[in-house]
Amino acid sequence: MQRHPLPELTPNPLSNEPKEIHMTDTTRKEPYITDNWEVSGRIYRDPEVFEEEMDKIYGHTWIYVGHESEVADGGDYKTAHLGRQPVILSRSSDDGSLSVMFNRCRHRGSAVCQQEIGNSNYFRCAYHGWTYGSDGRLIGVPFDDGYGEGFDKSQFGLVHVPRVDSYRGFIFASLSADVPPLADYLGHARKYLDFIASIGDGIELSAHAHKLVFNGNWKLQIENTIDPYHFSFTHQSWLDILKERNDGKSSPWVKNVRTNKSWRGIDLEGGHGVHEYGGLDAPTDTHEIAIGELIPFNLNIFPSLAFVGAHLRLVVPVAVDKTYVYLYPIFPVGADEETRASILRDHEAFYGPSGFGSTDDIEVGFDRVTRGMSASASTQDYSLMRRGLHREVPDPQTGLRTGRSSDEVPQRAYLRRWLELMEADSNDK
Amino acid sequence: MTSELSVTGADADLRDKVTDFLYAEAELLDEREFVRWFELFDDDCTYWVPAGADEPDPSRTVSLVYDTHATLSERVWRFEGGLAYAQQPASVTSHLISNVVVDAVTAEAGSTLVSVHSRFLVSEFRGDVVTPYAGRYDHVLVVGADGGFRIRSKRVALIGRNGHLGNLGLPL
Repeated sequence: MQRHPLPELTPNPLSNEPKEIHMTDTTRKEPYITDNWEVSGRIYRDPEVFEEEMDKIYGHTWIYVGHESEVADGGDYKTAHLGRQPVILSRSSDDGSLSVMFNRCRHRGSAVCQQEIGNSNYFRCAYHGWTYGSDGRLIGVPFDDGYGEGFDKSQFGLVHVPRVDSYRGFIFASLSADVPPLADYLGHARKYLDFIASIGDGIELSAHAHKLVFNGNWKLQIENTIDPYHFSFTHQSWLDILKERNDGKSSPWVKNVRTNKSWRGIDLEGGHGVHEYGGLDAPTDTHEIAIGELIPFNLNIFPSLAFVGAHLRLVVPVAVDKTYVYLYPIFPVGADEETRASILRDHEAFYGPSGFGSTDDIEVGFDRVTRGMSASASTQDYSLMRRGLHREVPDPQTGLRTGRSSDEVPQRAYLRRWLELMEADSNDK
Repeated sequence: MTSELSVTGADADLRDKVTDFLYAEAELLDEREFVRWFELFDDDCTYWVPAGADEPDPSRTVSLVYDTHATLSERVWRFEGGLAYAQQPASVTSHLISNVVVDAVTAEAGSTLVSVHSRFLVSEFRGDVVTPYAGRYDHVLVVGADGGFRIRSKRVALIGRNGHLGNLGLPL
């Protein structure tokens, strides 16, 4: 892999710390991330980095594929992606077990399932009629004498991905057999997932999803998901609207972000991060920004799952400069019409392709950042992800790194894990 | 909708009036006269842009927009006076409306309601890119005392409503 020499970074005059370079690849001319949290612009725009991510990040972690409410009954299925790999999440119509399989006919490669979601006892390839059960077993091959005596159908089922597991209804899969047990992988993020899973009598994702696309790198969405700092500026018009709704009284948001010490970002380790608006027992509308009132925190699960307000958010990388984002409103099971409508209306006002917040994020947080980051000849070709580094403190109970609301603790949490995985040898993850 | 080919004079006259109204509404959007566009809406209005492939139900499935009079006024305010980065730079649009069909004329609480559907093609130029949005409008119009129309409901069914969409902040 050829790498072109890039200009050396100028030492930051504000920093007394020596610049350490993370480097296992001796051909690399500059680090992805310095110890002083300068994040190279290259990781957002270099197709080679993206290809490496598809292997080292999306090929070697647990990736969220769906919620059990989406595949509740035998024969229910949903198509999804593990990174760029198209898969089918399917519940067996025989024994109710869950499978995640590549959506690829074993004969000549056609995708066997075309729908986003549905119910079927089998997947039949339209090309030559090969038919698979809902658990992927090959159950029908037209004119199978063409494969000679002893053709063993059991060897030609849909290929299962190495690992599938679920935690409190959230189903994950992995392209690598060599990942820790899912519960261990989720680690300190589990108690937040427990909170979400315990809303009402449990939750369901039955409202379908907002499906967004933007022409920028997937990590921009991850970094934007837990970022109270940007909200006061990018979303100023939303705060103005809330003030108008509240008879001219300003939302306490800006003040809370600056001064409320119970609003804090936490590095949950393993790449996961959270921003609490006053702990798990805080009122669910405690943020007072009317973005949905089910969840009193923003949560990132490494690498691509998140929860905000009243929705589940899934980021799917398509190319180095193209990303899909799915926003699934969450309903408490059995919610009445009024509750459902309230969740949907709050969500739609701020989120989605026509939401006031999402559209401003696309313009400012993704499109303009992508345009700015193309200034690769700058001698300062990095994002500064250092905010609050000097005031991180360990949580007294858990020892986890915590910071103030507007600090970039959650961003550093995910980038720390990202860097570990990217610097691991291909066969040592 | 009638399946007969003949159209009575009264039907054609109503369709002409409704069509003129839809054209005038589109013109306000293309001129970015959003406040005047908003004033076309009745106090009990809904402005609905469904999402997804299925038969939409705004109480069960997420919509792109489901505005009441109150939230539509906020949408309009954002474009007129608010700091809506999603519209910096502002979109330039061209609405084409065709296939106008009056579906029903009904009476409700002393008012006359006209249900009409049509097809649209909205081309948007923004940030050096032209994006086409096509689909079907369903309007329910209230006939006022002066014979003019107000919009009781407007439903915008994009053909691409189940696809991935980018910044679609603009009213359609």
